[in-house]
Amino acid sequence: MKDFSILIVDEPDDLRERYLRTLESDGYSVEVADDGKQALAKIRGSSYDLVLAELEIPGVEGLKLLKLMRNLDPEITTIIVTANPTVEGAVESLKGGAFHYLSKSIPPEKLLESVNQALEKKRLRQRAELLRIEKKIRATSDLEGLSEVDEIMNRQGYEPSSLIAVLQDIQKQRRYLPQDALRLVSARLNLPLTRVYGIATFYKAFSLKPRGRHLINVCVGTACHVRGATKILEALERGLGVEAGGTTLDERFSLETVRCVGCCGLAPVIVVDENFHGKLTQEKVPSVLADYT
Amino acid sequence: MKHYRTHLLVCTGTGCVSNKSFEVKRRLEEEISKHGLEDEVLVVPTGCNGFCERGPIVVAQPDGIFFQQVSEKDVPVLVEEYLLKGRPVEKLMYRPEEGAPAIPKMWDIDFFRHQQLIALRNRGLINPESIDDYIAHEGYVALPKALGEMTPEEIIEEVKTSGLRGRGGAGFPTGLKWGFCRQANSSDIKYIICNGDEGDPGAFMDRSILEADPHAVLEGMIIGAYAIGAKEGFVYVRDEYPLALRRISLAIEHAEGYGLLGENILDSGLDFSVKVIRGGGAFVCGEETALMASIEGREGRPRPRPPFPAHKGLWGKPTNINNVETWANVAQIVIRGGEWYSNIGTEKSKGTKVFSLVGKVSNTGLVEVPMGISLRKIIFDIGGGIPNGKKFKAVQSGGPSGGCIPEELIDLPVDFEELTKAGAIMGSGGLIVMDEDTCMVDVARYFVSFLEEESCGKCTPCREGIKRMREILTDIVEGNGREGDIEILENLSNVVKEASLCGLGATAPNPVLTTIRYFREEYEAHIRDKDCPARVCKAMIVYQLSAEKCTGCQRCLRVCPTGAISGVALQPHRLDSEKCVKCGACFEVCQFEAIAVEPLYPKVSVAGPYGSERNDKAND
Amino acid sequence: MIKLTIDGKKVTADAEATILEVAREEGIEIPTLCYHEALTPIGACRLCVVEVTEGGRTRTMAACVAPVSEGMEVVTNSEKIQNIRRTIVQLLLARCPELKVIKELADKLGVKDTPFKPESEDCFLCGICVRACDEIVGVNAIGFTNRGVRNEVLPPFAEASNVCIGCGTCTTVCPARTFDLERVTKSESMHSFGKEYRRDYCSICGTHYMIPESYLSE
Repeated sequence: MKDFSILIVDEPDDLRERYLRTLESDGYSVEVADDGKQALAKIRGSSYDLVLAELEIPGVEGLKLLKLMRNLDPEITTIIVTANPTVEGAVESLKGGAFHYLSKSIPPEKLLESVNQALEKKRLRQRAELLRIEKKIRATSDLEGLSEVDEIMNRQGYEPSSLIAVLQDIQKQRRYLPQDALRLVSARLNLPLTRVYGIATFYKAFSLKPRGRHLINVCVGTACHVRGATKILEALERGLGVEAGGTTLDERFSLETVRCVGCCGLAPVIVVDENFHGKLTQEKVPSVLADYT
Repeated sequence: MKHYRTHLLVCTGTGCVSNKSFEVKRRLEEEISKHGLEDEVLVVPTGCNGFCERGPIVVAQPDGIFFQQVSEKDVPVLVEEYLLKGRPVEKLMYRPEEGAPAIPKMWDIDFFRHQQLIALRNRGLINPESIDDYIAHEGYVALPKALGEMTPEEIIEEVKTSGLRGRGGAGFPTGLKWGFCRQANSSDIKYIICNGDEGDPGAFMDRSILEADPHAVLEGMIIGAYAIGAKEGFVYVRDEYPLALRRISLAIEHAEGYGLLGENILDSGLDFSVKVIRGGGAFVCGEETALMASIEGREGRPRPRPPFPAHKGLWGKPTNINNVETWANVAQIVIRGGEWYSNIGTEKSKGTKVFSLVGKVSNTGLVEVPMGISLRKIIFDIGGGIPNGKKFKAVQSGGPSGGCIPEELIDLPVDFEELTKAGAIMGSGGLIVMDEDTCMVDVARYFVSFLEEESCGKCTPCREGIKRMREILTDIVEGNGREGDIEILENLSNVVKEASLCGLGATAPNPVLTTIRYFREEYEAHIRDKDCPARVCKAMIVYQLSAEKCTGCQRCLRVCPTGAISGVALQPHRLDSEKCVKCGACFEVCQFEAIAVEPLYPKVSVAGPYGSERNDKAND
Repeated sequence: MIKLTIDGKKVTADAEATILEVAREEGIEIPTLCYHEALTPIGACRLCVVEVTEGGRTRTMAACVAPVSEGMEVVTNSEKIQNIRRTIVQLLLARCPELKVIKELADKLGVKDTPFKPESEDCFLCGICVRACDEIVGVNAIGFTNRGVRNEVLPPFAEASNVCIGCGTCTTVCPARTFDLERVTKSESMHSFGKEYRRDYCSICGTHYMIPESYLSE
């Protein structure tokens, strides 16, 4: 399964079918659009690595289509495949940014070659960019820690949509999300750093500062609230000398609140690491904490 | 094939586990082995039994005997008396109150008697980590029927006939939703999602179902995938539910091992695989567009609808999302037919609903009842009423999106439309009971603070509006409320309700609006008289120690965190209100009622210039 | 083509148009803050809400993201809508009392003051700068961080971005005009999200552009 996606823009006919089958049997994921308007709608909705377009199709005038596609997605590679090849057409297309200009009379295998070439070039360019960023990161950070982070991403297949799962694993391992780990994730998963940082600050599971050895989560869900969770939280804040969201100086405990751990029958509840302590009273708090060094 | 004369079903839902039920199970196995009974008695760990108040729970089948609050040290007696000698162990049996006769059989106990289990039919009966147990209990019987004898359209018709409506809160007709998704772009890739992001505080229905019977959910999803035409499914479970995550992952593994997931399921040509996604810790991700954004690896910010997920969902493809409980009902509907399901419940709300009954109620736990049963029956007959002789005040239905229902309305039948008319919503099924010691203004502020914390921040009405609501409510509970505050709250609530981008904002004002509607006097007391009738709001109460009642036992002195209590043993103590932080620890431990909570500004009514009563002391 | 009614007027529209686009074409004014023609609309400020009746059901929807549909009836300025808009402006006025664009909006809608406690923000999170940096410029130098009331537009780690190219797009599209356009085009230097830029001239065509100070030394 090749991880590039292709869009063929052309009127539905036998030739388009042949191209579709040739590319699919080589492992690409392929979609089709019948005309210029559909093509633009598709590109707006999904992301394609390569577009194969016939210029003489209804909807949008050929070269304009080329320009519009690149406006929507500057990373898109285009190959023009036309039934009426002309020299002017070739020059204009290449000037407009197309990678290749081919005639429909060539056998599908030749087309496949051209597609493979274009995408190989793209892959090399992406890899070079990645290496450049990684080099910059490596020059300034903790190498050993980073190779663990790399392993976490590897387990998820470096899939961009696995971002949250990756960050959860890093958080679990390091007890927080170090800056250089986030930069590496951004580089490896090919996602803007703003996205990675945005996710790291949006979800409560993550913290950018190291957490204590033991995480105390005080449930402040409604059932617990009604049964006195606020008083338990205040008792903990007083006892540990930190506010909710903080970590004790000796890094033993971090105190957080959580809205409902689903243990409502035993309200009020606190969770320390993965252990649930229910039916708590202010009196019982010190003895519960004593078990955690 | 081994035949055991007795099965001992030990509840290992998260609640009982926190009460050491795993230790009870281990000890049972040890004692059974010690007495040479391994071939006659099997100990089975099950998911949540439902009666959380009385855990740890052990049920003996086939007799149906219910043992509650079983601790490790009770085990040797239980094994010797009940298993060896066949004698009842009354000490461990359920008693509705002290001194009342014990009720040995589970289904004779009021808590269970009024329930009807469909989604929860396997709870407490099977080992959720064993696919064979599930199969032995009518499991994966619906699937071959669906794949082999029914067309996708027929299945959708059956679900439509059943009248099943989304159990996650919105109550949208499930069959209709499946139909939309099936019809959308028939050649396109489609997805199925199970929403297990149960964020409503006070709700643990989905957690229990996933922990007790994960295969019921899976089977429903596979049938759904066939009906809709999806090849990939996701189960999205909150990060805060580690046991549920483990059990559903295990169930998927086992189902794959039996060829019930994967390619060409049961030789039907259906390919379907399921992946488990862990939530990141955001209530808003229970909203379907935010949930999908989260699966795509983005921030959980909802987007406007239309387009709806059935047309454009995950990665732009048609997607069908349903709640855990909804999926858990599907297999039974396929086996027994939609008509059977539609004969239960009310005209517009069919079937049963799982509720988490929690808060100030004697029998807290998880119950499944037919729609149409009254709230009164749930709270008093099943729930055993309010403990400690207190008076019922209100029940919050539907979590932070729902509303508080007062006493005059608790004969309301549990039904989507009826609850909405009262200003609340059915929601996911959280029922939080409140008594006379609950301050409704504090409750409103609690919910609004929760939603302020969880708002994604994208749209102005929700982000700014809820923040300002919280500000005003905080002023009120701190004694800084002003005339006109209630009207500002009402207008703001209506605007936030109408103009917000997603369901979180649109339903956020409900707790405020219902508490104003039914408990306006409490708001007015806080504003006008600086009085909290429930004696909760710290700025309006003072703790007092009565020298007459004090026996000098020193319990309060020992727990006071600020040294506000002083005194010599066996002599009446003193409470220094300057040092008192009103934590209430002394009140909790005193056994002689020597500590009382009194209003800080006792009402001294004065006839004002316009003939109205004013609390002069409060407004000094 | 779709037929619908806006404020009692029968109009026809493209199948893919939004209510806002159709209204503007018909000369009907609907206030907006987070909308920009060159960017994907997100329906965040909610000022553009209108009442829409479809299939017997009436809902309040944001006009900038609501697609038109056959037979739809739209009301853009009912009592309810006016109240919603005024309340939203009151909320914004309390958040950003110094901003000219909010004060002008308040004047236009007849909002004289606000019952809420004033803060002193200079950004109301319309997200236009973030979308522009993503969709038009493509470098994604800034984004939303945190959530809810702590939402803020910042470069990652609140540090000077090393992918920002100093194009000034974010500052010129910002409706709060936190920066003045004049200052950007005429000044010798610019300060944006924690980074310094200096004006320089292209040796080939002579046009000026802003370049991050740090690049000048590389």
